[in-house]
Amino acid sequence: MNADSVTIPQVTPATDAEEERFESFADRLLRPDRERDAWSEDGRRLATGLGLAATFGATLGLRSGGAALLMHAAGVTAGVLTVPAVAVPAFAIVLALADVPVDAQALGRATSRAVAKAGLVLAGLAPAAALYVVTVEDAITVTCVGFGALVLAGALAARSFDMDLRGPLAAAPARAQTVMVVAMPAFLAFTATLALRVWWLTLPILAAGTR
Amino acid sequence: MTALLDVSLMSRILRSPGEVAADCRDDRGTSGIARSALLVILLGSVLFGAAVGSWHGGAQIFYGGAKLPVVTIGTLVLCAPAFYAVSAVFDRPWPARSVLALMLVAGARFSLVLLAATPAIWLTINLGASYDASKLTAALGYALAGFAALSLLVRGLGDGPGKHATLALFIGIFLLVGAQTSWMLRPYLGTPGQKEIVLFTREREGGLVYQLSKSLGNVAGCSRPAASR
Repeated sequence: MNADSVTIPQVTPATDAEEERFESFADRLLRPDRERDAWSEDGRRLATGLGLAATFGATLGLRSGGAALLMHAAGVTAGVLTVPAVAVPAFAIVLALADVPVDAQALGRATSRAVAKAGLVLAGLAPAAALYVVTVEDAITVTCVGFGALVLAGALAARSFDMDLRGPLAAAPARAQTVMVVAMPAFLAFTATLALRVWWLTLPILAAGTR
Repeated sequence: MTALLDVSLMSRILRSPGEVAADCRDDRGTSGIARSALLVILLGSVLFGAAVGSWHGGAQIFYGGAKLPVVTIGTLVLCAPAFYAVSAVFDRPWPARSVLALMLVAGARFSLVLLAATPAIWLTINLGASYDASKLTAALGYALAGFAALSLLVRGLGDGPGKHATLALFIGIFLLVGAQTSWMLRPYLGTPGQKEIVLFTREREGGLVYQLSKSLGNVAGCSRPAASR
């Protein structure tokens, strides 16, 4: 009783007095314009995003349990990792060949932010996915839920990547912007196909509903 | 009870949802808001669940009253991380504390509307409504409460880019989770034609959407006669 009467009045003035904005985990993870932002910062962001994606993978593995948890965690992470490891370097080469003025740092930051956003969305959806994975009787529903979450996270990551690269390209010559009109959708379509193929090969739960 | 339940806050949730949502977003007095909101969620869900359970009567009243708070709070708990992540991705990286407070306040508005719908549900059942009509009336009450909660969330998201996408995604996730949670813990009214009252049904019944469309068909009179109690 006493504890309540002492604690409650203290909470409101303290938060009111603190005019400075509280920095949430998501804010720290995604904010792009920080002084410390460098390759190490992008690497940290990328690793966090992959770790968050792994939690969603482990959730998918809950249906079978045991080693499936690790297998699905690795599978989801592999699909996400394929993009920065394979697709983005290829995209960087194409951009360099076309002389599009996007530096490696901007590309790295856009990639790490896209992966972090995908990881954040997948981790956020993990509890809801766990409900379906554990309680639904038919496999097709679980396949749809797992596939839907991966596609949603991928779409949001693609949107982030596209928007982050629009800034550096705003002042670019008209020719570079024309190249990007073709190159960006082609890259995003390629990335989506690549990630989906990796997930299809590495996640048994996705194929289970179609058999 | 009055110390736990802030009545003026309930009035603000109903009359000025935008103000309460802004308080949650800016982390102003969120612990008090959360405490009162949780209590209202419990109260509204228990009474609505009990009213729905009165269709069968007996122990079903207690089962309904016990299960509906689990559905409501369970859905909020499972959706909170998704709401946090989706809002962060669309340039609203709020602290988890603000997101939780916002969800609880939306849940409180939902439960206040359920509370208002409870006498109407009970009266409908008491006047001898069929199983299907009772089920649809309860679903209507739930839908109205959902719209009331949604309007608070719309205000809570504020203006800015990605508002509609955030909202659409959140509605989708909430509907999916809410449907599965409530489906898992059925029955709430009782099982038609079954004298025995059970806590959970474990029969294959085709899913929530199928059941609602079947009830619509039955109420419209194009299928089979209404089920007896």
